[in-house]
Amino acid sequence: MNEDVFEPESMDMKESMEREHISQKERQARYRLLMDTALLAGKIMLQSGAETYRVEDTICRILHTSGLETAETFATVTGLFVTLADPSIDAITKITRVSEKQSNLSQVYEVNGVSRRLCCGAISVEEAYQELLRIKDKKEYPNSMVYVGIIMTSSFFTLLLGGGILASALAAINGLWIVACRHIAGRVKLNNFITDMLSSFIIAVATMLYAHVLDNSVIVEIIIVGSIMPLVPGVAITNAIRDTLQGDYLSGGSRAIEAFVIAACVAVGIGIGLAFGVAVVGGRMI
Amino acid sequence: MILQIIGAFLGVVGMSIVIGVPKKLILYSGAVGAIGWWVYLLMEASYPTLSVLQAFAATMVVALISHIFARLLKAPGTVFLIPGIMPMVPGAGMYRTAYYAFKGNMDLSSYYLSQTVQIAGVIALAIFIIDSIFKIIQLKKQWR
Repeated sequence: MNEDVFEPESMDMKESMEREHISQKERQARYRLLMDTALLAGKIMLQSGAETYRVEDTICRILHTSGLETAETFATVTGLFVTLADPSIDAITKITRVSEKQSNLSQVYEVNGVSRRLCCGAISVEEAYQELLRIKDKKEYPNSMVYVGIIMTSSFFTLLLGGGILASALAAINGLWIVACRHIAGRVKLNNFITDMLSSFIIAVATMLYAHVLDNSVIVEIIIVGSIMPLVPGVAITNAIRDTLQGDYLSGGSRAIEAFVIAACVAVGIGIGLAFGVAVVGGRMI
Repeated sequence: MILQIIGAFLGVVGMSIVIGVPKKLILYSGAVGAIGWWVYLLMEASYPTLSVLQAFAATMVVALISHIFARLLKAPGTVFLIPGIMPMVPGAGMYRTAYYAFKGNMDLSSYYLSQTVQIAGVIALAIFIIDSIFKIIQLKKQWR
């Protein structure tokens, strides 16, 4: 039998501390730091849109470096439970609530890297914790760059759907409306759903106006479909699929609801916008 | 068609900025999106009526390339997958559902709603199939 395959190659925390005869209090403090590191890693990942199983996997890997008997975690979209226990220490359990969410895949990527290095022993727990604190407040792109991204998305998705140069230029203007909505919503702390609804309303009305001015009703559909792409909840959809198929029904279900509600908001915004557009420029354009 | 593929590349790059894909990986995710959309257009040319099949084939390719890039570049696969499937997301179906509901044509509205759900379903199926295949490959490596 080759049972030794499952033994970690380097010495784990428990073993090395036993060998160095470290006091009980000091040990507890070190486990606590490891716990905080794992919790912070999980929190950053959940906030920035990682799949639930990835969050749980990362936390478990970090906790297993301790070599303790029990290292369990349970993550949902809105919260995180982590526990670490062993006969040799007082059990530690922590709960974190994750409320604000902002898709930021670069944070998922960087936390992944830190946990990889921690688990293979390239950095110490203290270093990992400091690094995570640094990642937490880091933004990959400044706001202005994100706004450029939104305009690019609107414009080029219209091109991708076969809209041609003119439609894509008009969609870029629609992207500008989305940016304006987001900017104002950020200032007055408006709810995301309302912001999406408002953006799609403005897009629908504006597109009707372009069509009216150009006297061309064919482009309405393609411009609207392309322009709403930045509002489409891609992260929520993908994670809903992956979480559900992974067996995390709680997270999968709540992400699916999130995606559905956003989609419904956009649809309602477009519906109202079209109705408003018809009232302003007449029904000739749809 | 070349214009559309260029559009896919730049559009996916824009989307990647919005969801915060790391700077050095942004061109890769754009490439994943462009290749996926190329496959979609090829399928559309050969099977014009089967929009569900088109989305399925394109998502399979996107998921496959995402996994390969994830292995090669040591990054989570989601970084490429999420922006990559965006072109296949049935935005047009969503729009038409709302549009016909607004016009009072419930038959067409529910037709487009069911089509939207179908496309979302096959996107899920395609991702699931590729994920499972890569999981089997990983297990095999562990046994050796």
